[in-house]
Amino acid sequence: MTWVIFGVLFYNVVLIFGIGGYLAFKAKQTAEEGGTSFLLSNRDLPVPVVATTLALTVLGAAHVLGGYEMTWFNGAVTAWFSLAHVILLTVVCLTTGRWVRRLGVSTIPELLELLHGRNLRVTVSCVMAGVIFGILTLETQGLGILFATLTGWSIVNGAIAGGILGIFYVILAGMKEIGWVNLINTIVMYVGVVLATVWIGLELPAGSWEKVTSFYTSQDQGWMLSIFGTPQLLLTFALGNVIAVTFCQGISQMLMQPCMAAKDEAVVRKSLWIAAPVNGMFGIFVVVLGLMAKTMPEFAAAGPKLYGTTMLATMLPGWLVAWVLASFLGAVLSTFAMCSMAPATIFALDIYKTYYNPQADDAEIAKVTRMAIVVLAIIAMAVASFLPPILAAINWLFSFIVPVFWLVIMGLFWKRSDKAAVATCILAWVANFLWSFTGLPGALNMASVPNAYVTLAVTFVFGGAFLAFMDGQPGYFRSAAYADRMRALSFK
Amino acid sequence: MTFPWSVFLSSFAAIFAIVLVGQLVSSLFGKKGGD
Repeated sequence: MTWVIFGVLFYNVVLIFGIGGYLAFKAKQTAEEGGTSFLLSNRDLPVPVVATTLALTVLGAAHVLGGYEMTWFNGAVTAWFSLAHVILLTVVCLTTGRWVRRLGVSTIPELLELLHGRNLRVTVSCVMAGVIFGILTLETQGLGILFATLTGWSIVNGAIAGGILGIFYVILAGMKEIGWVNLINTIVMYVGVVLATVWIGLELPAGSWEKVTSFYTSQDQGWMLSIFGTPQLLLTFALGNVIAVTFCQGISQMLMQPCMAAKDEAVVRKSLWIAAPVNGMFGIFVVVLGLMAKTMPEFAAAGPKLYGTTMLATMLPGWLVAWVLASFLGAVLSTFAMCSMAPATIFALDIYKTYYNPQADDAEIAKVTRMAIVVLAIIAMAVASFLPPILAAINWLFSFIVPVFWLVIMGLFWKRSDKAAVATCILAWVANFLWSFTGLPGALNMASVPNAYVTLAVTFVFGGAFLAFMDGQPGYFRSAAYADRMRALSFK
Repeated sequence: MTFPWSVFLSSFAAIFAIVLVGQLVSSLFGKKGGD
């Protein structure tokens, strides 16, 4: 097993330092080291790089480590966790991602100032950076668990080793490095996962697929083999995931930054054709392997958290185990990289440059961003060491971004008002706190209603009313400011 | 169709249906998006 561990680490180290080092060297030679180069790759990324970065940014620890566990309990309806991300990527590539690229902004808080005002910019900067940092903590835990599985180290040491590798995934050449490393990781990951599935399919004795089917049907669980599961699972699991994932991540800096770095708006739109299947199909392989592993007593004995990986480790040859684990590690590292880059960018541009050093040039911004990445990653490693139940908190975290998504839509198409927008956010966030930390849901007999539904309702009711009755400007796309900005950008 | 092809094909079909519906809706409302 030692050479398997060596192979996994060797692949990731060579890939990260090889590509990152080469891109950093090239940037130095062409004197491109400034903030736009580091944060947004000089807005020059092509379709394959933008597409794979979008796909891998929202394919991390929850897919890799949580997919088997969800399949154990819910069966093939778990595919909706992946389909929810496909809907998210569709929304991003056809709407929000295109708009941020068209408007030439560098952060979502900057877009919010453009639409509503500076108060909203600073308020959302702090909250959005905090939410993404929460996801970073989850990914760091995922890295710790993967390293612990590979090496037998403690999760704490694994989180530190993974975190250091994650820092180098981004810090050498920024957005360009993340993008190109992601492109190679995607190819390696898919070849590995397809090979593993085919290998296991061939290894199984004749008639095994029929046995999988009869295993579930004989227990009256035939619905576990259909992605439509049961009506109740479709309403709770499937729809719940679609709403939480789409409205929370659809305007998050971590998905918007690769769009902002695209060569043009058409690149973002075309990226959907690659990003959607690349992200969506990964989880389907996990579902199929999980459904199969559960029917075999020797693997089912390992329980819902480990049965899938136990089957992979037992049935595959060493070189293929190394391949699959290396690609799993790559998937989590790519999410770690964007989760550290996004809040660092918000800090550098929306806090440091806006409030402390408006004269900061590109090189200074790149330096501040690098420092923020390292500091955030170290804090995440420290927090992850305590293994907080972050997965339970993730829906609470995501729910903070729901009002931001809708305030952007309303601000672009309907009406803009700084006061109304800030008041809506604060009300939605207070409701999110009350829903998690008081007996309010129980008192209203709505304990099963997820937080995202609550912040969504508050945003529609109060946000809609505030914007309707308070003074404000017309939607940005209908304003003279939009026409002026488009003219100015076309001359650049 | 039997497992596992039923899961693979229905998921693949769902992914492309989502993308196609997205493209259709986007082209219908494209003008309002400032295209």
